[in-house]
Amino acid sequence: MNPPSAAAILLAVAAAIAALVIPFLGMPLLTDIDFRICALAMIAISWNMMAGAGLVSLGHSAFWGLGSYAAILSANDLGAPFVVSLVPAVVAGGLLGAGLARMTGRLRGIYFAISTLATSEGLRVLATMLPDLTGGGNGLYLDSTLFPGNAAISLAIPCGAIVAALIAWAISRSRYAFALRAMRNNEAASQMLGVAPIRFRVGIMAVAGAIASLAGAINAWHGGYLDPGVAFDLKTTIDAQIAPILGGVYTLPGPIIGAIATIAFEEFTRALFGGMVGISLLVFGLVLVAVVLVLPQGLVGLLRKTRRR
Amino acid sequence: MNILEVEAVTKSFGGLRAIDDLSLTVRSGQCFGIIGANGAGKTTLLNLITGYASPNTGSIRFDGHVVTGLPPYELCRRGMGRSFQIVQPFAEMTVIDNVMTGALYSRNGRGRSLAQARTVCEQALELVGLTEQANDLAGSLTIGRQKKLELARVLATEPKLMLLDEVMGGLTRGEIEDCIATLERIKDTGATIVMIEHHVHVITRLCDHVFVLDFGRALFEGTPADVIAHPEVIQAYLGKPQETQS
Repeated sequence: MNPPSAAAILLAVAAAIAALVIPFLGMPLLTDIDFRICALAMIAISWNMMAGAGLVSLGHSAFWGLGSYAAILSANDLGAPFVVSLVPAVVAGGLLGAGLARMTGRLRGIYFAISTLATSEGLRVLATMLPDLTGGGNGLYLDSTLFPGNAAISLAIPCGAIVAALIAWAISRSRYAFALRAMRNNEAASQMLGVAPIRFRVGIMAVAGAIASLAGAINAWHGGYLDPGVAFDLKTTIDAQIAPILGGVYTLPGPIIGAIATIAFEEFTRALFGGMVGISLLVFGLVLVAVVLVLPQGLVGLLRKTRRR
Repeated sequence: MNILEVEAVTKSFGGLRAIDDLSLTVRSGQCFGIIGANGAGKTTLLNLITGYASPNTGSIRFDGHVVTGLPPYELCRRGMGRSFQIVQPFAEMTVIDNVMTGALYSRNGRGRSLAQARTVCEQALELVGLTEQANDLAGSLTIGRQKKLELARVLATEPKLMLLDEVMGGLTRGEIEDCIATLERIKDTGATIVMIEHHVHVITRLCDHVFVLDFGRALFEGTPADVIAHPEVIQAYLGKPQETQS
């Protein structure tokens, strides 16, 4: 992999500063967009990390939802303040990732994807069946006396996204990147070069799970309400892969550019067709299909192509 | 010293005995050729040795230890290297990055920095003649070069024993000559090689011991000259001469 250009580093730093500064500008709409971009970027980076090792996830809402519940329950039941409540969320997400890697063993491709989908559905059903803990279908409100204020939450999400991006960057520059990419290309052959797939599967899924859980946890504080359907929403799973596919899978900036493009486009279509229910979603869907057909490498692929010309 | 001992190994797929009570011994420093008709069980034998399949009965010893049933990555770390008959490049990675994976995770790879690994890889690519293609995507190489890449990946793991599954298959005449020259250079470094090969002239040039496999059993073994003169080997490959067939 080539070292990043000075322009790319500058752009990344500028984006990070912008994400951190926007919550303090006193513009609620912009702050909200910033929050959504950063939350989406986190799960997109997490999804892309696993995809980069050949592990296509259809169950990112499992990490997201588990993180949400871990944070809210540790706040409500144990009185944990905001930042402290994020710790059990990260740990739970990491453990779920590692455990799922162990359980799925050598499953690949669609079989692996289905098992992640089943995990997230299973957790949703479990949350519904444990009303004493989760409030069941009635849901659960965050203890409002613990609310740290909007500023803390709005600042936490860009911090989380920056940490996630830095972890992804560090992995891509390390020796592990060679094993992960080899596994994605040909897991059987990679073993003859000394790569033990299960070790890397456990490692990358623990990290990816922790990141997605952290995003879910911060979002749960942002929303203040949880029920199994909200926590383990299939839309989270879909968003987590749409952003990297739009931006460029297996690339570092892909999930981030994809997250910005996705939210920007959502806002744009809502402003344009907001009056007509469903139209904005339809247009978004059509554009997504067009992008996948025309730009299989995503927006990052498009940028690279134009630069080469 | 014996680097590899296969003892009374059997592998069945349903009712078919692909490998049938087979034993063989490879000594350190040997270039050991395995020949046999299509379907004789050559690749299955390699899969058993390298851990891609487990034998039903029998044992395999490598470098003095029983390794039966160990996974391929463990065998790689103990010093086994293998190329695949059907090339298995990491198509979306560059040539050098393909080889890097081997240099980083094989037996000497752990303590190695990325820069040190790169040096090992550059030597491996130099040896097989892929230096100029180092930064090309592996998937874009010609089949001949992908075969060379297979070989370079094996070399980068610095194996005590190299198992090569038809590295010359599908190559042009000129490429075969190149490949023989490369393997001769590798042999000169004192490597132990087990090679499956269809081209008889390759076997006679490179190997000092040849093992003939027929329907999962040992048909004959000896020097290349003995083997090509042996009537049963000729028969297994070409069939009986017509006058004796009736």
